[in-house]
Amino acid sequence: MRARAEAIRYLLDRHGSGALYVASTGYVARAVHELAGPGHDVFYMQGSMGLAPAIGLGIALHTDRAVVVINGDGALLMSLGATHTLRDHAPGNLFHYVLDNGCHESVGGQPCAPLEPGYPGVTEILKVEPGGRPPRVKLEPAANTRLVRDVLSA
Amino acid sequence: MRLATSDSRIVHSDVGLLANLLDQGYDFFSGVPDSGLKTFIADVYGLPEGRHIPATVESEAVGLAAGAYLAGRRPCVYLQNAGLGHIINPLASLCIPYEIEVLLVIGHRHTLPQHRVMGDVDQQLLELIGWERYLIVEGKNNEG
Repeated sequence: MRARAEAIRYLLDRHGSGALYVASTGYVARAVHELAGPGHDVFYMQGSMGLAPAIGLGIALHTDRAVVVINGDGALLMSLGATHTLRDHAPGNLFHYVLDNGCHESVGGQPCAPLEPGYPGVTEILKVEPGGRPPRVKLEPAANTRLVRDVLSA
Repeated sequence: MRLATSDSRIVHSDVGLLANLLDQGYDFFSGVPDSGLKTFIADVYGLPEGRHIPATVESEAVGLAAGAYLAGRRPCVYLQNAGLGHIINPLASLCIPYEIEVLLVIGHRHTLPQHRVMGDVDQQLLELIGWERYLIVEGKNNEG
């Protein structure tokens, strides 16, 4: 098991600055915001828990770029139906990772139901240790939308 | 009984609706089927691969549409008004603050007991949260 930051650095290195990242709500988005460099293009989904894989699929169908969804275990469980939609419709440029800390960390660390070893539409589950409190995302939602639309239309 | 406000957003037939929306530039569709939107949805299922992705739940359809909008598309989500209960948070916490434009095409159910409460308030719910991009289809097929 590794630290959350270590897992996120691994994904940012693996897919590099050519990818478009979708970071799920809570500490995932906050930690990605803390760690992503200026060369990384990220959609920080700060509400709408559970929708990151669907947003990622909606993007991936309309770009040649790699689209990398960084989800959480609680958020995955909240929208399990989306795993089947990704299974049936995801193009090869969509990657869906789940950071599995076993709990709802940003709202108090309450345990969530343990995950199965794998799910359809999930590229890889990365076990991470809870710990640390990443700072809030300092990017207005509407500015984030404009940034992503500009990047994808370039 | 419902308190209609913006009546231009209420239509009485879904015949020709998809062609109309395509003419207006809508180019990506997702949703969950409704018997009140049978013609529209049959037309949507005839779209070329990639223009339509069926969702497992209405919230997921809004997520797919949001992603398509981020990638420069003009998306539309179709649903029965019962599904409004699943998309209030996606509209409130995603589409509104992120300024993501999604057109909702909503089949208006209201006659059966399980549809009466939402049938009375569907339009008011959308107005209450400040969502104006919708069309409510009040067809004849309300018993299906």
